[in-house]
Amino acid sequence: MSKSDDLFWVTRVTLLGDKSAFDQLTRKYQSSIRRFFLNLTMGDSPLSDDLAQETFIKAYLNINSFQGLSGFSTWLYRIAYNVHYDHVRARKITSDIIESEINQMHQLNNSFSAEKMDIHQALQILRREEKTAVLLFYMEDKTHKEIAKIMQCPLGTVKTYILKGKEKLGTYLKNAGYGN
Amino acid sequence: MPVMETNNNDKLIRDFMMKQKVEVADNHFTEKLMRKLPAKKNYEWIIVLLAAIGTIICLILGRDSTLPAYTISIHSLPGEHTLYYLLGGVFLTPFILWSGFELFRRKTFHWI
Repeated sequence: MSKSDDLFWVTRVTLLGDKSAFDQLTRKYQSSIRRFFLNLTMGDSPLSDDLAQETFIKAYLNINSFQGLSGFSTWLYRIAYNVHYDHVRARKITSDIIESEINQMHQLNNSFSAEKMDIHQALQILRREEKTAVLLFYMEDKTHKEIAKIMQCPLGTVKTYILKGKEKLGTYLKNAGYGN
Repeated sequence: MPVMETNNNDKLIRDFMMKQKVEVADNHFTEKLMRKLPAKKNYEWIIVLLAAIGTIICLILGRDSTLPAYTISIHSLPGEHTLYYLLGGVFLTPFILWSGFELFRRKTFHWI
């Protein structure tokens, strides 16, 4: 399904409220959005699914505001980023437990993260913004410009996040024996 | 940081990320989501309304009408054409296009 197909399905949802068109869009993007959340939440599968569900519901309710200037995928990631940001902010208010401790708890209890321990440990050394930018750039194949739109920050800032994240991750992976 | 080292890091991270990249199976995620979607207004009735207006225009004004039959000539088509039929055709166009699309998708016409 190409970008023009996306636009076609979006038009169907916008003009006719066609749920089956939204079904097509969800099937296409559920994997990448859920993977994005899985990596941001250190493999917490139930939480990732909840956040992904919230993302798609928000996308459905606000699809009229999609102007087609950026791709539907970029627009969806932007909602996902905001949903995750809101979640982290809410968790900070309600909990005194350090975020890294929660992430470690998730890692130990989760079958997905048992196999993905390496990436989650590697991502933990990054700041939240660096982690998001690095994931979008390397894992989700987004360009700097698209990441700037998703994270709603200047292009230069995104480049800095990625550069810093690259330095930290590179050192970590070399020390962990990768690339030998 | 030297350019060489930055490029090495870039390749190292890209290879590492690609190895860790997995496709997440749907596992009924989409079905559950579709059930939870809130109701949204459906505007298919507009197409039906346009079709009805078009049909009525054709029936009332197109046949046995005492109103003067305005005709127009279209440059690319030979002869003169009754305006009412053309108006009806314009109103019916969305209905015809939509019907064709639905037939293409083999969707059941649940409201006809």
